[in-house]
Amino acid sequence: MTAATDIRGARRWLPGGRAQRPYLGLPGWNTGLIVLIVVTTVWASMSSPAFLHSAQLFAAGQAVVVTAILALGLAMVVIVGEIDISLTSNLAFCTVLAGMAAAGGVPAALIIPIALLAGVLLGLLNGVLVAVYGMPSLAVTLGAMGAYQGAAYLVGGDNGYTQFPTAVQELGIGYVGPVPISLIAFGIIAVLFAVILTTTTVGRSMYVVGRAAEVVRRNGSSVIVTKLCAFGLGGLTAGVAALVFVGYYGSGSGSAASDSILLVVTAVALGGLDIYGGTGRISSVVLSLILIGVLQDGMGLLNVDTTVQTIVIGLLLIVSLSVSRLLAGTHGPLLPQFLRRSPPASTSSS
Amino acid sequence: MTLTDAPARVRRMAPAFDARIGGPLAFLVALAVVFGIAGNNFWTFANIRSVFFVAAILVIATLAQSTVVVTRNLDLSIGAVMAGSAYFALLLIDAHPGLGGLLLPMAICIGAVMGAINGFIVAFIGIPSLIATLGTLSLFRGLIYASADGRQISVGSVPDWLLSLVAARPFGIPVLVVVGIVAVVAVGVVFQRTGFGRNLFAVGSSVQASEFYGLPRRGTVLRAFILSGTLAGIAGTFLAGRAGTVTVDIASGYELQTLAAAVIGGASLLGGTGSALGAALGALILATIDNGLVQVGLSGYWQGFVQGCAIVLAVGFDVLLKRQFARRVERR
Repeated sequence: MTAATDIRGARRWLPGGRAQRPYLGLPGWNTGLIVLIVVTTVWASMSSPAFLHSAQLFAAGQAVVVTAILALGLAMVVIVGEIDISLTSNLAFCTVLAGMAAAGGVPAALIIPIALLAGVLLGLLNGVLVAVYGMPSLAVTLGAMGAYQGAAYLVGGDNGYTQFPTAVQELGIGYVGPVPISLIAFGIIAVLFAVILTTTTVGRSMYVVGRAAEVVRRNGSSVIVTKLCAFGLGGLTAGVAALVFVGYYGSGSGSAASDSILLVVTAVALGGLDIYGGTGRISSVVLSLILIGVLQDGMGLLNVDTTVQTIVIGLLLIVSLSVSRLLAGTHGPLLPQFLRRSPPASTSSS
Repeated sequence: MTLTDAPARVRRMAPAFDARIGGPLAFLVALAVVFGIAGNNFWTFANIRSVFFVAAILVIATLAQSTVVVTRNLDLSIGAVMAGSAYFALLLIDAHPGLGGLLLPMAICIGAVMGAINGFIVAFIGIPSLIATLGTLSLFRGLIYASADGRQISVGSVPDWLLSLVAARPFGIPVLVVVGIVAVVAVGVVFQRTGFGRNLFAVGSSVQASEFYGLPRRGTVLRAFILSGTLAGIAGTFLAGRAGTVTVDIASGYELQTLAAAVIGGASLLGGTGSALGAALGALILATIDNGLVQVGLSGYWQGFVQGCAIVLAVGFDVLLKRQFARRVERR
C-alpha cells in the first residue's frame, strides 16, 4: 500500500455519512442491481405472459433456492477474506448422511439437527485448517471439495439414498400458504446473517478481519474465532441447503449439487462483494440472486437455450464488474483521468 | 525472493525451496511403492507407460495453469480454453479441409487469443482472476455450446495425422509423453532462464515490490495469460486427438484438476512459487492415484477422497516450508 491508498483508506473509515462506510461495498451497486432486476422483470413479463404469476415465481424460486442458500454462506466466508468452494461437496455429504440416518431408522426430529451439525463441523474443519494453521483457503477447500464428495460417495455409493421421512422433505417441498418453506428458510437465513453482520460484535469484526487481519491480530483480538464463525456459518448453510435438496429432489448422493459451486461464486461476485474480503452486504447478495433467478426463469420461459443463459450470466459478471472498476478508477488505466472518480492508486494490488 | 541480489544468501535459502520438488517427488515415489506392493500389476512397463500417457495432457494443462498461478492469479477457464481452441480450430478445418495440417498452429492462436482476453480483464481492468476467469469460463463454454447449435457431438473429423500421431509409440514410448516432456523442459527454461520468467515470479512474490522495481506488472500478467492460453491450446489439440471426437463438454473439469495438480506439485496459490517440474510431478501424482487405486482394487469412490487429502497435505507442507523460510529470514 502506498501513502496514497493509506490516506484514502483512512478517510473512508471516518465515521459519518454513507460514502464513509466502505464495508457496504461498491457505491451504487445495489441501485444498479435493482435497475437490472426491474429491466429484466419488465422484459420477461412482456415477452412471456406466464412470467408474472405468484405460483410460477415461487416455483422458479424453488429451483434456485439451494444455490441461493449456499451463496449466503459463501458471502460470510468471503467477507472475512477467505473462500470456501467445498460448500457443494459439504452439502452432498450432508444429504448422504441424512439418507443414511433415515435408512437406519433415526426419527426425523433427529435427522435435521444431524445434517445441520455435520454441515457446521465440515465447515469448521476447513476453518481450522485456514484460520489456525494458516493455509490458503482456496487450496484447502479445493482439497476439501474432493475429499467431502469422495466421502459422500464412499458412504452412499453411486445411487445414494432416496428414502426420507416426509417431515424432513417438507423443508424442500412443503408450502406455508402459497409460499414454499424453502424460500422462507432462505429469507430467515438472509435476515439472520444480515443482523449478525450489522449488529453483533462478531459481525463487525468479520469486516475488519477481511479488511486487515494483520491489524486485528496485532491488536490482540482473535482473527481465528472470527474466521471460524464465518466458516461455521458457511457450513450451516450447506446443512440447511442439504435438507432442502433432499426434500426437493428426493435423493441424497455424492453427485448432489456437484456442478453448482461456480454459480454460487458467481452470485456472490455479482453481489459486488470484494473477493479479497472486508466489504459487502447480504442485501446485495440477495439482489444478485434475484437477478440471476429472474434471468434464468425468464429465459427458460422463452425457451432460450441454456447455453445462451450461460453466456449471458458470464457476460453479466464480467461487464458489471468491469464497469464498476472503470468508474471507480482505482484499477483502470484505460479511462481518461478526468472521468475517474478518485485519483488512481498507482500500486494498488491486483 | 528473485529480487535478492546477494547470491550467497540465496544459496543458503535454497534448500528450503528445493523441498518444493523433493516433497512431491517423495510423495510420488511413496505412492508408487505402496501401489506396487498392494497391487500386482502396477510395476509393469505397460502400466507405467499408461500412467504417463494419461498424465501427459494433464501435465501440459498444469503447466498452463502454473504459468498463471506463479503470478498470484489463477485460471478457472483453462478447460474451456482447451476445449475452445480444439473445437474452433476443428470447425475451421471442417470448413476448409485444406488447412488440416495447420490444426496445431490454429489451435495455439485461438488459445492465445482466449488467454489474452483473460489477461486483459485481469491485468488491465483489474478484476480478480478468480472472478474474471469464472466469467470467461461461462463465456467460452457458452460460445462452444452455441456454435455446436445443440448438437452434443460435432466435428468428428479430427485429422488422421493427429490420431495416428497420438497413437504412435516409437521405441515403445508414446509421442504424447515426449510432447509432455518437451513442454516441461520448454516451460522450465522460460521460468528459470528468461527475464520474462523472472518477472513472473517477481510479480507473483510481491506486486508492490516488483512495481517499485520498475517491472511491467500488467504486461507480465497479460503475457502469462497468453502463454497459458498457448499451452492450453496445445493441450486441447492433443486431447482432441486422444479422444478422437470433440464433444462440447470436452476438457470440462480440467480447471480444478490443473489447480489441484499445481498445488500438489508445490506451487503456492499465493503466488511467487512453482516450477515446471513440480507441475509435471503434481499431474503425475494425480494420474498415479487414479491408476493405482484401480490396480489395488479400491473402488473409484476413493479417488476424490484421496486426491482431496493429497491437496490438503501438499498445502500443509507448503505452509511449513514458508514458516521455515520466514524463520531463516528473521534469524539474519
